[in-house]
Amino acid sequence: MTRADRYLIAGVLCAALLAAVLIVFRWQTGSGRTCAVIKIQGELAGIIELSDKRKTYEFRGKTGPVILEVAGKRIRMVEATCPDRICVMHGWIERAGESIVCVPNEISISITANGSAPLDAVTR
Amino acid sequence: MIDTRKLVFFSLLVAMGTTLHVVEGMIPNPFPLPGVKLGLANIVTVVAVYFYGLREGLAVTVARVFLGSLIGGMFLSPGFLLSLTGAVISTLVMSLLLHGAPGFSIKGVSVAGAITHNIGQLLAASLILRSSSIFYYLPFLLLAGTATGMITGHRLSILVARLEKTGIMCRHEG
Repeated sequence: MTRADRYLIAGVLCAALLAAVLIVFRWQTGSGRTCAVIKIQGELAGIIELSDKRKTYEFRGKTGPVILEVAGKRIRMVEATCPDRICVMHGWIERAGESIVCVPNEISISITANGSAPLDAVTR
Repeated sequence: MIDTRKLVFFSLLVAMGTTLHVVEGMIPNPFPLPGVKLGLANIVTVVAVYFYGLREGLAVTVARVFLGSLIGGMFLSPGFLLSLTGAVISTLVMSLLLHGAPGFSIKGVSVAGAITHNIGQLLAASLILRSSSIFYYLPFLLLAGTATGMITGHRLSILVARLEKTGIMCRHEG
């Protein structure tokens, strides 16, 4: 190994470290931006940003009012007027791609991240 | 005039490169990182660039990627495009270091080849996926490339020394 080789390898390792630091930094600053998309009878009813603060939202479904709650970057259905409460029992959702559906009310809540799902694509 | 000796070595290099490319594709990846491999086929590229030059190195490499992916059933797949881009970029960079920048040994050239191969692959992948988020993968590939480049570089320095000693291939000048 010559001196130039050593500089090259040291440079590459530094670049890898720098890139890793930048990526972790971007990860942390960019990760708070997941949103829940609310659809009622197929129509877009609202987009809610999933923040840390506790907040409730009310929507009017087909059978009556439903109440959603956001807290700790998660969202859940708190109250609904549907007969079996499957949507309420579903509990919290937080990851992009997860969803809660209430069939009697024809409401769906699905989470989208900013452009990036857990898997972008699969190649071989 | 066709140099028969060169033609023979050329064909041997393409055949060996193709074999390494195909055999390497059959070895299961022991790491949880897709795309990390030893880069054994790069040995042939370095030999071609070292003894003949950039044009010959590129020809051997492109022929190896085409034949290897035809045999492996990956022809024109995304994996093939990644291989081709990575191989061409790394050949260009290695030739630059071998013939244009004094001070680098075969090992350093091999490491540079491995990481530029990875960078080329990521560039191609980001074009195919139309997304730059694949570059999050760069630090892992840089680390892996440095390690695999040093391993193949070590093999290469032994191989080149022996080839020079036997004198069956003479170093290309200029």
